Amino acid sequence: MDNLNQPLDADLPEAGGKQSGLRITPSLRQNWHIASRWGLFFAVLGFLYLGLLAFMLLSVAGLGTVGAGNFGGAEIAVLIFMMLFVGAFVFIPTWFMFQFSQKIQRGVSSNDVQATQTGFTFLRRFYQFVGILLAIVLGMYALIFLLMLFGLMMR
Amino acid sequence: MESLDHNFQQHNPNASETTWQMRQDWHTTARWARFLSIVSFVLSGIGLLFTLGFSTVLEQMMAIGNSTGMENPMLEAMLNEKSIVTVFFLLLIGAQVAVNLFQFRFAGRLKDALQFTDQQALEEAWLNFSNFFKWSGIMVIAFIVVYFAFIIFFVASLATMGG
Repeated sequence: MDNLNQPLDADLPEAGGKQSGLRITPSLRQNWHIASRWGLFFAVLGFLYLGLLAFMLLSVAGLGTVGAGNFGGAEIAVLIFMMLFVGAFVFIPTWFMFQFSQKIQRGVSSNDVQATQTGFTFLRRFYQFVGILLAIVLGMYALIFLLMLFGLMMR
Repeated sequence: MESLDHNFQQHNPNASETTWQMRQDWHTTARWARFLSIVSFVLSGIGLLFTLGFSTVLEQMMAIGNSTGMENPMLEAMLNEKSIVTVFFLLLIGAQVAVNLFQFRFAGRLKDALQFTDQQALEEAWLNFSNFFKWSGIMVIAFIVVYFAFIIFFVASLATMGG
């Protein structure tokens, strides 16, 4: 006779596959803790940079309202747009790094697997973002190089 | 009963087993870390080529500057101290390669750990990762200190020249 006291999904494999056999040991936790502390340091540096950028943005906006120097409204608008653009590209990885360090620290200190798991999701997002950005920048460099080469050949 | 225990362990937040989601994230992280480390090695190689041809490039730039009537005292000062500048850049590139090696090993060992269910590789991967972050942080601190020291030195030398 079947055992009816089993959970409905008892005979199903773990989501996405079998159990891995990889375990979270105290030395792993220690290394994660060290990495998360340095991650927090990088995140703080990123936020400091964003603070400086915000300060510069306000200064430029102030210049625009006063109408000082040779800067016109269009130039200042372009400057502000560029700063916001750079700020967004700095903020996203900084936020991912901050979340990674916070979640891992919480996960390690209170043995919380869910928090640790979320921390690693943020680390994955950080690496994905930086990697894709780098690939785009490298692609743009390659394109510029090819265009220059094409221009030289057309002469 | 065994499946009940198994089910309990899956939902127990204190269980020391890695989760499926963690392993998926690690897999993606390892792939991107490998990409970033390879790009960093290539950039270090380009930097090395530039450093070794540093004096030639500076002399060419000086020649162009002189022919167009745009003399650059900064370039002249760098050319006078070219051996110091070359050693400085070589040290910088060496440090970058050394730090990046930790990231490269992290990516490789993490991939091995996931592929072959190798606990030893997993431990080594995260040891390399913490070393990578630690030494990157130390390099950043050193860079900030040198940057501010340079500014102070520059301002002090300007003040001396003015006085």
